[in-house]
Amino acid sequence: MVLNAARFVLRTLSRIEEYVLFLMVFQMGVSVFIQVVMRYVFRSAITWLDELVHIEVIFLTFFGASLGIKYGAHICVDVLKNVVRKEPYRSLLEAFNHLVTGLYAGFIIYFGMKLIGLMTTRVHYTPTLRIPKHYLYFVVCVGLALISLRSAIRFFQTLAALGAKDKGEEVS
Amino acid sequence: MTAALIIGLVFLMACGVPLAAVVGAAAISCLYLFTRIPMQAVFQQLYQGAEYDLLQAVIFFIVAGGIMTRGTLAARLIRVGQALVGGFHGGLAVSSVLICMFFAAISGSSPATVVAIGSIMIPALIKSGYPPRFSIGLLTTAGSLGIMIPPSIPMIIWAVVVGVSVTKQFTAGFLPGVLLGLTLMTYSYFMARKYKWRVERRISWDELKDALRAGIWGIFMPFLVLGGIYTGMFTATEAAAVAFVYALVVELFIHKSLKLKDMMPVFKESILTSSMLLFIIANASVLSYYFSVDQIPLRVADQLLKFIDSRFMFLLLVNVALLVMGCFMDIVSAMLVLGPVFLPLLQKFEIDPIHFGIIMVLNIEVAFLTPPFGVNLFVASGITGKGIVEVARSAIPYLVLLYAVLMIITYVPWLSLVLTQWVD
Repeated sequence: MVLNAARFVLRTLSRIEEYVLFLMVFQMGVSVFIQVVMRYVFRSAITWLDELVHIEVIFLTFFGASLGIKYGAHICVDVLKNVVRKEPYRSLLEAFNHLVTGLYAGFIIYFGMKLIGLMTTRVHYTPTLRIPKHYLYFVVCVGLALISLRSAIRFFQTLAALGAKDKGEEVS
Repeated sequence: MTAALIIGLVFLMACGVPLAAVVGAAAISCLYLFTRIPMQAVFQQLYQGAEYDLLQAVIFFIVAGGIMTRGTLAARLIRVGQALVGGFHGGLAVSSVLICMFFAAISGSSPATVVAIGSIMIPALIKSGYPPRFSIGLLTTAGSLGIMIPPSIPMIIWAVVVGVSVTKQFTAGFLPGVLLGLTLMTYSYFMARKYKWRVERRISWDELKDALRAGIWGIFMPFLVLGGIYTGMFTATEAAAVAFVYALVVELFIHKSLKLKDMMPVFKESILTSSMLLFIIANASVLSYYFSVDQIPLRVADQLLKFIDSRFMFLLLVNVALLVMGCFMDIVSAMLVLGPVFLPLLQKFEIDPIHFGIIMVLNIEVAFLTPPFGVNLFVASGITGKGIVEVARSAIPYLVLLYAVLMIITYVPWLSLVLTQWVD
C-alpha cells in the first residue's frame, strides 16, 4: 500500500517535472527570439527576461540531471560494464555507481545548505528581478536532492531485483 | 596522497560512475586536501558553472537539431543536393557530402547530421549500386562535418572553456570544414571512377525547380543563422534561439511535418542531452576553479617544458594524447577538463587558442568515429541495422583521410586563422 502510494507520487512528480522542463525550454527559446525582435522592431529590450532565461538554464541543468538518472542518460565510461556481464557482479557494479552519485549529490547539498545559512544574514539580490540569491541556491539544492533521491531509488531497485533473482533460482 | 587520489578517481570512472560526479568528486577532494578554501565555494562554483550566457546556445542548437532530425527539412535539402550534382560521375556520393556540409551549416551536432542525412542517403546510395560499406563509412564520416562547419556545439563549449570569441571560433571552422568536405568528395569521385559505380541519370530543369521550391525554407536557414551572426544582427546565443524558432515554425506550420503532440518526445530527448552536457560543464568548472587556485596548469606546463621544446612536438603530443583519451572517455568531457590545463602551454608555444580549438574539434570528429565511444558509429549502426563492428570497419579508410586532414590543419594554422581577422 505504502509502496504503491510512493510509486504513484514519484511517477506524478516525474511527469510534472518533464512537462515543466518542456515548457521552460520552449519559453526560453521564444523569449530570446522575442528579445531579438524587440530590439529591431521596438528598439528596446526586456531586461528582466534575459535574467529569467539565465536562471532557467541553471534550473534546467540540475533538474535535467536528475531526470538523467531516471533514464540512465548520464555520460559515463562503460568499459567495465561491457566486460562484467555476469550476475551478481553486474548489478552490484550498477548499484555502486548509483550509490556514489547519490552520495556525491548529498555532499554538494550539504555545502549548499551551509552557504544558504550564511547568506540569510546578508542577503544578495539578482540585479533586475531582485530575487534573493539564496532562494535560487535553494532550488538548485532541491534539484540535487532529486538526483540523490533518484540515485537511491535506483540503488535499492537494482539490489532488490538482484535479491529476487537469487530467490527465484533457489526455488527452481 | 596524490597517487591514491588519482587511482581512486580512475577506479570510479572505470566503474561507470557518471563522469560529472567523478569530475566533481575530483574537484571536491583536491580542494579539501590541497587548499584552505571553505567548501561552500564548491557549491557557488557549481552554480556559476551553469550560468554562462553561451550555454543557452548549446540548448537551443540541440533542440533545433532534434526538431530538424524529426521533420522533413533534411529530406528536402537532400532533394536539392541530388538535383544539383546528382548527374555527375559518382554524383550521388559527392552530393551526400555536399548535403552534409550544408546541413552542418544549420546544425551544430555531428550525430544529428548523421541521423538527418544518413538515414536517407545511405539506403539511397546502396540502392543505386554503391557498396554498403563505402556508403555507410562515407555518411558516418561526412556527418562529422556537422561540428566543424559553424554553428558547432563543441566550439561553443570550447569558447566557454578558454574564453575566446564564439564568432571567431566559428569562422575558423569554415576553411577546415571545406577542406574536409573536398577531401571526402574527391575520394568518393575517384572511388566511383575506379570501380565504375553507376553514373546517375541527368536531371531536368523542372526537377531542379521543383526540388528548389520544396527546399527553399531549408536553403534559407544557414543564411539567416550564420548571416545574422556575421552581420552582427544577433549574437551566437540569439542565433541559436532564432534557429530554434525558425525550425519549429517551418516544421509545424509550413512543411506541416510535425504536430504539436510530436514535440514532447523531441524536447524530452534534447533536454536530456543538453542537461547531461550542462551538468558536466558545471562540474568541470569546479575542477578548473581548483586548477586556477592551485596553479595546476602552470605546474604542469613547467614539468612538460622539460621534455618538449618545440611547437611541432607539442602539437604532435596533443594529437596523440587526445587520440588515446578518446578511446577511454567521452572526448567532449576530456576537452572540458584538459582545456584549462593546455592554456598556459598554448601561450608558451605561441599557438592561437582558436587554432587549437579547431584541432580539438577535428580530434573530436576522429573520436566520434573510433570505438568504443564513437557516437557516430552508434548512430549509424542504429539507422542501418548493421553491427557496430561492421560500421567501425567501414569507417577505417575515412579515418585515414581524417588523420591526413588533421595533420594539415595542425601544422597549417593559416587555414584556421586567415578568415578570423575579418570578424571580431
